[in-house]
Amino acid sequence: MWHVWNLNTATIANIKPLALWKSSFNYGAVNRKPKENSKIVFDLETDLSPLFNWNTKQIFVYLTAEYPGKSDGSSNKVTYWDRIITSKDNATLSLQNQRSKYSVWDVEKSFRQRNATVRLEWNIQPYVGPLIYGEIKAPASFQFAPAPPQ
Amino acid sequence: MNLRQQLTQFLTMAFVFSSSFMAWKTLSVVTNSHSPVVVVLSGSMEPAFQRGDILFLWNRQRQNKVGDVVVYEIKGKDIPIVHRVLREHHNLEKQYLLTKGDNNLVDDLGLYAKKQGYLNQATDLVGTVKAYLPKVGYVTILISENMYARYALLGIMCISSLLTGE
Repeated sequence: MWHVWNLNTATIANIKPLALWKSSFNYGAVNRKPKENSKIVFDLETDLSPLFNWNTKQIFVYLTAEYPGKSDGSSNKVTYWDRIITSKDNATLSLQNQRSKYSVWDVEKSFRQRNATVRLEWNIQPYVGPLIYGEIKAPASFQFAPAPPQ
Repeated sequence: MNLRQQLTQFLTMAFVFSSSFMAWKTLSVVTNSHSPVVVVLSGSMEPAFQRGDILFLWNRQRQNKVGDVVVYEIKGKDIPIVHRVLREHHNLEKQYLLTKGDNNLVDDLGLYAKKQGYLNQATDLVGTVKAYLPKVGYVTILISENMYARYALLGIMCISSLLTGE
């Protein structure tokens, strides 16, 4: 039935967080009140080719950061980078000084230099049948950069 | 063909229609979604989903994860949208989601209502995509967008009803 995917571990390293203020709605600012945006630069090494089989149409691989919220039981998870991989030939990733694809903002005004856990996650889009999700063990974390003066 | 035969035929047809309607509504109750099976209409999730593909939805989860593909509806806009969850923010009561089409350059802020910054997980979702069937839904796109296809289907239905009447 379902494979158990034997994935080699990924390496996520040299995460450098950046912080900047934005005042456009497209960057999370409401009524032009400045919103802290976060970007990262990172290195990534992994091999996703074991995820390809006869029923793999594409792999959607995404780098997420999870960090706590203000109140009890609150939590946040954001995507910094993602990629669509449609062929086994492109499934080996070796990225150096990769800039995040997205400029990320929080529901709060600032990230307040919280700590974030970084994960490399994937979704197998099949030719037919159920969508399958998973995560590659690659323990990594960073602390949000201090926001520059406004 | 006597009256009794015609009535039986009518009854059979009514049975077919009502049982398929019942099956659809049962699925709706089980999945907690008003449209548990949807046809993809746009190319914003290509190459994962193309126009005419069929998606099976589930809408009983209290929270969604980043990476989930969800179908949502914006108040005041008719057409449901299938996109992927880019961010989630939750506390014990509610969850906010920001979505994006894999094939789009930017997130969905421009698709939401004016001044709306997030989707509300509890009220805006039609469901989360759990399974996928390619191409089969293209028939419904043809019928709704092409009048010749519609006439052809009507013609086939008329002829077949005449033939089975014997």
